[in-house]
Amino acid sequence: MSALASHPGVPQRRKRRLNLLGPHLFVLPYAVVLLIFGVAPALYALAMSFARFVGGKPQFFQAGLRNYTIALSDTRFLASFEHVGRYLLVSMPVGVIGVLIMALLLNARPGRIALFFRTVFFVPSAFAGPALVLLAFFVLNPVTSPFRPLLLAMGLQTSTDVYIDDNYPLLFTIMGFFAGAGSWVAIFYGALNAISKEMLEAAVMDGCSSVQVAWFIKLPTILPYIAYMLILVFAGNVQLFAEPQLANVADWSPNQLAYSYAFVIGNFGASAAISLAMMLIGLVAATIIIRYTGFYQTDATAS
Amino acid sequence: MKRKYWPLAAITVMLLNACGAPAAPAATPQTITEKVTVKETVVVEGKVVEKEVVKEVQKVVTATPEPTANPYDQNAPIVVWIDETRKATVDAFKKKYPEKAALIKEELVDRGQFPAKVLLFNNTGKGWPDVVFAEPDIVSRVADTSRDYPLDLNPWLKSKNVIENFAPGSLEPCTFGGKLFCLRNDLAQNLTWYNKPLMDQFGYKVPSTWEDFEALGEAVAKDHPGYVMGFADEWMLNYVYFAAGRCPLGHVIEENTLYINTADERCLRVARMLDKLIAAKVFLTTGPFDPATAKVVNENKLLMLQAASWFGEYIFGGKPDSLYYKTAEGQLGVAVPPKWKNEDKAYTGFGGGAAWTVSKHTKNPDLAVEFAVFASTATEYHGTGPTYPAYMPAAKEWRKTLVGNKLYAEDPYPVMETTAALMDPLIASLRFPTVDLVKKTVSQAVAKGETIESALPELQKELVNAAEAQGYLVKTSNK
Repeated sequence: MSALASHPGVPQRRKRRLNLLGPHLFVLPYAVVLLIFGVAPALYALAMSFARFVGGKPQFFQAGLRNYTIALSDTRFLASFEHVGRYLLVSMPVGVIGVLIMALLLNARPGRIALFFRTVFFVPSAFAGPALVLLAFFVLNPVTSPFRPLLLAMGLQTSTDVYIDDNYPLLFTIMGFFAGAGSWVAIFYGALNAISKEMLEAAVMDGCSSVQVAWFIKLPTILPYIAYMLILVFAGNVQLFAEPQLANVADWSPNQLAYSYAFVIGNFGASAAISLAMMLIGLVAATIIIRYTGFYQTDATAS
Repeated sequence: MKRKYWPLAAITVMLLNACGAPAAPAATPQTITEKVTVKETVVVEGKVVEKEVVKEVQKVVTATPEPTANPYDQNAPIVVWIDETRKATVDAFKKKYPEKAALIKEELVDRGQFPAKVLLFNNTGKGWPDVVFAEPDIVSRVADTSRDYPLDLNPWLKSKNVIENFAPGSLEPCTFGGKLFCLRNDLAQNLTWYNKPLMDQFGYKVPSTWEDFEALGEAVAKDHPGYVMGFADEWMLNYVYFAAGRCPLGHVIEENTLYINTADERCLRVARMLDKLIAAKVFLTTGPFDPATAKVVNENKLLMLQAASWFGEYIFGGKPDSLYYKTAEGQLGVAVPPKWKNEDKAYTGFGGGAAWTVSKHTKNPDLAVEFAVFASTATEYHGTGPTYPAYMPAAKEWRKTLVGNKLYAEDPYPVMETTAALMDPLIASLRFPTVDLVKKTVSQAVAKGETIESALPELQKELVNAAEAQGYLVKTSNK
């Protein structure tokens, strides 16, 4: 591409157009898939949220705001957002900081051992999430757990002691962390490896300790990746579903409630309303993160 | 940060969220009212007769039409949804009626998905299975207005004797506003299971009232600490104790109207009794299948247990790989469950006990109903089947499977038969699972060391909310 663009025979105006055409072509497949599987369902959900359902079939724009009032007046609605809010307070810091520490530690001493552990961390990500959740049930049950002495020392005798609603945010964080951490460690590890050796050497020569290198050089350099993780983890965690569903905790998260409305009650309208509420939260959060991290800043756009 | 990238970020999040959004139906139906003279197919005792009637019909156009002419085809194949265990039923049917074997197409499914699938079939207007094996709770959910799936079996039954031979009250959970939407396959009446050698050794009598039960619990706590008389997890609370107490977690008073009142004396008596016994450590708070529970039972610390009839074969077992008893040495006694002193008799709930339901969209109701009747009544299958049959003649045949089982102190069949008639008609199939709400409120309280009684107001709130979300009218006082 760049070879073509810089060809001396190409006139200046055409070169500009080609410059734009290239990136757009690259984005096209993604944009098409996004339209079909992302934007279209979201618009359809918007239409459904104003539909009335007769015999399970939608009658569009017949319901007014009724689906929204049904969802909002359900006592489970606010409770489920409160639950997920508490979950985010635990899962986001634990997830991001945990993954960063793991990646920085691996990167601090690159070599065979780091490579080995990077693979070990990645292994759980290769399995389906729900399978890991089921495994976690055994690990967290004081009767069957290999960490039995630890759990007993914490005063947990049986599964009843473990599965108390105050513990859910932490439990679901533990379940989710091991499923997702490995792939994020791999991403950050790659990002850290891409930092120029000269810069790191310069820092060391200026007297930086390895902690200072990590804090002042590595972290700021990979900030866009952290922002990217924040957005994805936030969107993923707001949609928490498998963990509480498999723990047999009914309607704990908004996504479970949306599922209940759709497939237990058969009211797709209220279900769509709840889904849109989740999307709205995701949008606002993404906007804030992007605004304050310079997520899309590149050498070309930086002023 | 450049503003022009905002829409891209917005779309990214949309995509991420859309993954979690439920699948959507697609159809444009209309509701119309029209006056028509139709040849109506009426079914009387299994015979299809045609007559002309003037009808005002209101219908959703995309739905399958009411039978206006004989739409049925006796040679149409039927799809039967079963689980692995019920494969034997299909095989037995095909063996008995080889000429119809080719018409039966069985599919092994997860029936938990059944209500959701019906919604999708309703939208596409095709794909419904003809016969489904499912619990009455599930049948209740596919009978709601948005699904409208089950066929009223009453007019299709060739003989009324079929119904009369089901255990009394056992078809109650299949009956919705006078319509019979399913036939029970098996019953899971709750019984009093007890450890006979331990009871003899301690010199205790099996309690016949809940008041005696409570007194026995206190005696056990005092004289034989460490021995256990039951489990207070949500499953047992919902299906055994609240049911036996006749606590109105959702009593149907008329079609689509529920009486819900956890402040009712019948709930309080259960809560207070259990609170006392949990505090005395005679009750475990873990569920029957929890490893912690199994450990207690394996140490032979279980004196008595109120539980469903299938616990004998499946949970106590008496085989080396059984959950509770690894040996069969006549240690398992069984008795009719206790009654509350001021009730006329004992009432029991049931933990399980599935049924056969037929689709109103079936092209071949003759065969579909014939199959459902066979599946729920045939001695060929139930005589050797795994659970207590709801159909009384089949149950008598099933008794033979218990003979020679060294697990039981005495033949448990007479007690099972007596108890099958004690199932509370107040317990109906509801469109929401009360057990989940008991878990969310009462079990949480118990886990934190609070009382069941203290959690009842919260349970009331959850029950009313769930019932209303399901379109029920709720009454909270029985005046």
